[in-house]
Amino acid sequence: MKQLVIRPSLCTNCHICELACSFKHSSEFSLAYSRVRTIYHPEDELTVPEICLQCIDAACMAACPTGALYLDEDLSCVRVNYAKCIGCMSCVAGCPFGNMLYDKNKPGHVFKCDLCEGDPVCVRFCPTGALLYIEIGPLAGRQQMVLEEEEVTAG
Amino acid sequence: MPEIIVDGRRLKCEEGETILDVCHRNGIKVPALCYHEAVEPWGGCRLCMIEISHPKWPGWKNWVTACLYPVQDGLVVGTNTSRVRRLRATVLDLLLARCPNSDVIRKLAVEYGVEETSYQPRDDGDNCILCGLCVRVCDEVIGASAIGTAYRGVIKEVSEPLREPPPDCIGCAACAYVCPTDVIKVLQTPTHRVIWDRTFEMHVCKECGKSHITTDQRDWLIRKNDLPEDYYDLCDDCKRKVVAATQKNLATF
Repeated sequence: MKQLVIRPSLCTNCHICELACSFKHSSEFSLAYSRVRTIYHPEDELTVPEICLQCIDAACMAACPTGALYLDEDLSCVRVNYAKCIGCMSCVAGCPFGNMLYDKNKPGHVFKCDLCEGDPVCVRFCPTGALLYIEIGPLAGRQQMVLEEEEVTAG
Repeated sequence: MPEIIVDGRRLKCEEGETILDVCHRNGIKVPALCYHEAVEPWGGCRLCMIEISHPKWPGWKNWVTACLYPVQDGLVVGTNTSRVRRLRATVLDLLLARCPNSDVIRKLAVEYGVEETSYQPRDDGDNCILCGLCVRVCDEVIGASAIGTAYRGVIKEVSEPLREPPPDCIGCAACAYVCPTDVIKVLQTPTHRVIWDRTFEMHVCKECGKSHITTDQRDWLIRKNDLPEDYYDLCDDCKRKVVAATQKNLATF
């Protein structure tokens, strides 16, 4: 299973991922329409790109009263079925990581990372490799790394 | 598994689904204003009228609403025949008389060759077509039943109970979002939302003061999903900052 992995130490805060994402999804170069948001920490000179974690048991899915949010099993991606959405914003308030986003100009219109159907443009345009879309096994990046270290020391 | 023929295309369907479901799934355009996937189909707007026939009914045809008619094996469906277009034009002629100022209705009417209504247009009304989507979403999805229809016949309207600010409303504004003709007005400020003549306090972020939902909707969500009281304290921006700070520490670790 492929997963989107962030490597904050390589991110230069160039915003290219945000612009690429916004242009792909809304045909506009506007950070407000980007599904990925970079957060700069000046004290460490470190930038962290924030993208939907595609939780399997997602809080946004639990919050949705209509079942408009569903898990795409093939991509392991939580997606929005706009035909079912009633614009109540429960998912935006419900996501504990703040990765469910909304259009400030259209009340109730929510959006989230859809992994670009398996070819994320943010990854394609990231000049430093701070964003990766790689085969990583059943666990998320950090957990996987810790697991491997333990296996090495145990072996 | 039943199979139906829509405009000459043979389509596979699931048992129990409606003709409109099959059309939407296969990209066949059927206009519908009172239909929304989140609620049960209702057959109110009469715009999804289609023509059906069956090899077992020689010489017989019928005109039904696609949103309510369940599929049955061998059904032959026409979604854009001349009779169907005429039926839809009649409906749109009437709707245009009811809502002469609605852009949605006017655009659809022009598509079916109705430039101007042949009836006396209503000059005092709003753009409500009485499709009942707002009422059904509030009842079936939110479960609040805060609004309903009042009166009958030509004076029928969507209304709060007794025309007073609805006590059961949670201010989620789902009714305004699903309204096909954008009749329901929402007045939004960072701290308050006014809908159905009732003023709601927004649940503002503890850190930055931004808001997504009303306090009543927060209480409803906490009750429904059995969440801790402080679950909705932060807005999406501030939650992202918290997560980013954690991930930053992992990166420098």
